[in-house]
Amino acid sequence: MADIKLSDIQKSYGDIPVLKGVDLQIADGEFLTLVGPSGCGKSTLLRIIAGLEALDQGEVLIGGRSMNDVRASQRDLAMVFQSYALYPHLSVQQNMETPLRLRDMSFWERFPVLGHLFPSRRLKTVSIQEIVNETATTLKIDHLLERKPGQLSGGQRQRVALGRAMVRKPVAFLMDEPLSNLDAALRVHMRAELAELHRSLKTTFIYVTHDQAEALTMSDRMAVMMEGNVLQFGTPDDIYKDPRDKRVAAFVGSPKMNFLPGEIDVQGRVSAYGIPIHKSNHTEKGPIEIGVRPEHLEVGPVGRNANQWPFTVTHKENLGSDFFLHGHINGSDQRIVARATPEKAQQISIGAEIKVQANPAMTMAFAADNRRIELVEG
Amino acid sequence: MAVSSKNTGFWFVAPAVSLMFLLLIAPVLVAAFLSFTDYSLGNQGFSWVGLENYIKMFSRSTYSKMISASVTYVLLVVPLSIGLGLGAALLINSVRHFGDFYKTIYFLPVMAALLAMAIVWEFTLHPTIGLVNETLADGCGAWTETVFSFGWIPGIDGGQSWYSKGCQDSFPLWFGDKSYSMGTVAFIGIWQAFGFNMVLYLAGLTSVPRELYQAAEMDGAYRAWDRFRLVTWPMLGPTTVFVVTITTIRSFQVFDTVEAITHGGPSKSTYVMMYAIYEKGIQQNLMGIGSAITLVFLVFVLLLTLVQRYFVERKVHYA
Amino acid sequence: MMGQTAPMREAAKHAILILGALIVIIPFYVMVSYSLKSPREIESNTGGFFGAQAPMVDEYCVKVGNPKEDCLETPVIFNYSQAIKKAPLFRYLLNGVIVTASIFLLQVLIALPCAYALSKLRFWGREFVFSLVMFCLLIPVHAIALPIYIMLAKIGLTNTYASLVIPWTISVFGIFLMRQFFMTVPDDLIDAARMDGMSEFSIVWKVMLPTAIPALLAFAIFSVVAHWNDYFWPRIVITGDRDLYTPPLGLREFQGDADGSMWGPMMATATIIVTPLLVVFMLAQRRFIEGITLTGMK
Repeated sequence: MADIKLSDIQKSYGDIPVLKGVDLQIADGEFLTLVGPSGCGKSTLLRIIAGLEALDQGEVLIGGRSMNDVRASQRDLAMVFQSYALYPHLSVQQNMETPLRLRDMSFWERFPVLGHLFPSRRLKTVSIQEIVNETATTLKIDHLLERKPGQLSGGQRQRVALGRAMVRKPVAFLMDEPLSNLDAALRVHMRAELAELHRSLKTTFIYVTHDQAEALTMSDRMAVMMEGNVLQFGTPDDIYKDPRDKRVAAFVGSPKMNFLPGEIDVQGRVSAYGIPIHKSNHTEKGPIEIGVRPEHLEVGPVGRNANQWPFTVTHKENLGSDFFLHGHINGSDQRIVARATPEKAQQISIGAEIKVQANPAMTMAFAADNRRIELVEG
Repeated sequence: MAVSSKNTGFWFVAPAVSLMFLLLIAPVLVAAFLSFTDYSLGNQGFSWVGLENYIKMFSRSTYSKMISASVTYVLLVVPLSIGLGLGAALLINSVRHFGDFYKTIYFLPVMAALLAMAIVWEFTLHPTIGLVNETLADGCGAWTETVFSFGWIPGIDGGQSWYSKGCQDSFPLWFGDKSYSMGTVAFIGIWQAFGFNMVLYLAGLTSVPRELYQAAEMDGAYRAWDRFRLVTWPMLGPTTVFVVTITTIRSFQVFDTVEAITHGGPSKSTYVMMYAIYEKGIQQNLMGIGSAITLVFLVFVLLLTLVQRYFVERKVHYA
Repeated sequence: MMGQTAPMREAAKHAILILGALIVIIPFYVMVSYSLKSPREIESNTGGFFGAQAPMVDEYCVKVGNPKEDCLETPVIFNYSQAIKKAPLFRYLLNGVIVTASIFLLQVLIALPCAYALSKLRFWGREFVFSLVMFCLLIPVHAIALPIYIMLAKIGLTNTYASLVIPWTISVFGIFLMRQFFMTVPDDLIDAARMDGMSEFSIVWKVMLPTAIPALLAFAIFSVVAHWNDYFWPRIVITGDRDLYTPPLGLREFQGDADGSMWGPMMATATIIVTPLLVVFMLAQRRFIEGITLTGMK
């Protein structure tokens, strides 16, 4: 079994800390995404797992074995780079053969000219070619084997990079923003393909991205990183529905979660813009922030309920299946986004004064230090 | 595009084009023409000699020595100065400190007037009072002789080594002995040229994407040699083609060291083509044969450049 | 690349690099050291780098009939003053400056409009001119020295500044380099200048020239280094007139009558000739190396 365990990984460049003690346990065969804004340390963490970067403190364990003193080439991991890093002078076939040749052939068998003197070289060459052909067929790039990377499109290069990683059947695949160089349509398509590939290979994927949508759509579990820490680690569903930190809540989901200035009193009553929302066990008086996702803001008027905010619409965003209404509450300059069905949106014009109401069960509260405050019915 | 630019373009290239014809094309034609004559400067006329000059060049031993001297020089200087340039670039690129310092030092010979440095080398390698031979002689009988005569390696007779023989007898006349002269002149050429190649290779190295090295590492290339073979050397291909061509053309043009030190000798061992052109054409006023050498020289350069262009075009897909 | 190179390996690399640096430095060391020492110290290889600087007797001065006491001089002063007195060294240096500067200015004057026309103007015969440039790149000027020399001799120009400068006025390499650089200048910039009412001529000098400074500097380095150090061509066309000698010729003349005793002054001359470029190089090292690199990226 090859589960990967990271304990207390620390790394700094000069005086600047990049990773501040990261702990993660990655189960064998799972699709794990490291997601966060740029500069959060996710790529550095991946490169530490790969062994391309030395760590200052902590330990990387693969299958229970410490990898700290094992160099990248011997960790049996494969990596897909953001720029694909294909060897430009080698054909697709040769690119995919490279890891196998380096692993299976001895130094002398690989030696130019002289290598041909070894009879064993022939046998190995044949078996390597078989593996490459098989992989190329799986990835549907078998017709490109003779080409050089310079003659391929971005999507094709991406597949070759995947193929080069796959041929060796590594313990885990490390992917550093592999889709970021593709155009939008292809990116969406490749998400599905990668997820399918993961299901068929049943190998661990560690995937780095800054795109929360990729993380949500593909991963089994995701780790949201910010400023060198893992803020939350869990399934995409968990992270979306139950963010433990305001920064996680703000990062995951598109359009972003709305944040309203709120208050909490000594009885634990929570309110925003004067409208009570819920109670909490938290009884420290002070300002807090209320988070509501756009789809949890109901566009009204909704019945005769008094707990509604006046909302001025400033912009309508048409996505076809849905509308997003942008505007502000009570004339505050905080931009609020609410989702509406097309039918409802049709009746609302820009500049209209309407009412919105937060779905109390889906509303979250965050303390000044970004921690989530539990709300209770009441 | 402005209407006037039709004529503007013409006037803009006119001076350059006329000078190209006057100073480059015409001289080649003149040389081609004169190579079939026995022309001398100052003589009123000349007579046609047909292919005689060329026949001389390929039959007389002077000229076969000339070709072999030039070719030997090129074959010594090109691989060694490129190998050293690449080696220096790789080392400088991989050390953590003082890289710029070494780069500066190694580049100094490129900037220094070759003639001046040739004369200094002549002094340094002077058979009796030159620094090199004196230092070698000072080492005789001391521990240095023991070490460098390699007698301590089993199976080697230290007494028969180059160094011990030099101690007993004398150290070489670097420029006066024909078995050393070409090597020594070529050494100066290498000394002068490798820093230039190093700088070009350093530039080539900075353009190799770092991710390629990391990809090679992930692919299992844990030996430095494997990464060199897989990434560095192929990625430096275009640089190498350029460096080889420019070094070769420059090496064919070697003149300063030969003129200042050996005058083509001893026994024509350093009689390179540029020196032959100078000696035959300018000193002896034999413009016919001088022109014939010029043409042979141009053919060499032409062939080399065509070979280079072929290689460059083959590497287009590198981008 | 792993950032974990063993210290032993690092040390070995430095050892090799230092050894290389020592070999590279030897002649510079010898040159400067000999220029400081007395003949006796040079001959016996003593006195370290600076020599003892003990007063020495100027043999020539004695021969002329001066008393020995008046002919005592410190070696370093003797060497450098001899270098200047024995030959008009400053004249040679001035000639070097005049020749290299004229060559470079003329090269730019001729190459820049041509490069501009080849990269940005459309006119009849452009393709032909460009192929001509590519073909002429194949011709090393040194190689066709004989016919050029004959042509100059026929019009009586040998032994003049003109003969030192004329063959180099056309630099196809310069045209090629500048053209490649101009290709990267956006057409919009030129069209904007035209809209502003500039003539094509002033576009070359007021728009293209300033944008091309890096390439021009690279070319300047190439041109100046080549012609300051050139020995072959001056050797051919300057035969008698010492007033036209360039620095390498001046040094060569010294060697003609070198008999051990004149090593010091000769090395002083060599030092004076080599130093200007080396100093400029040290001061603007980055520019130099960038320049060489730029010219290498054909």
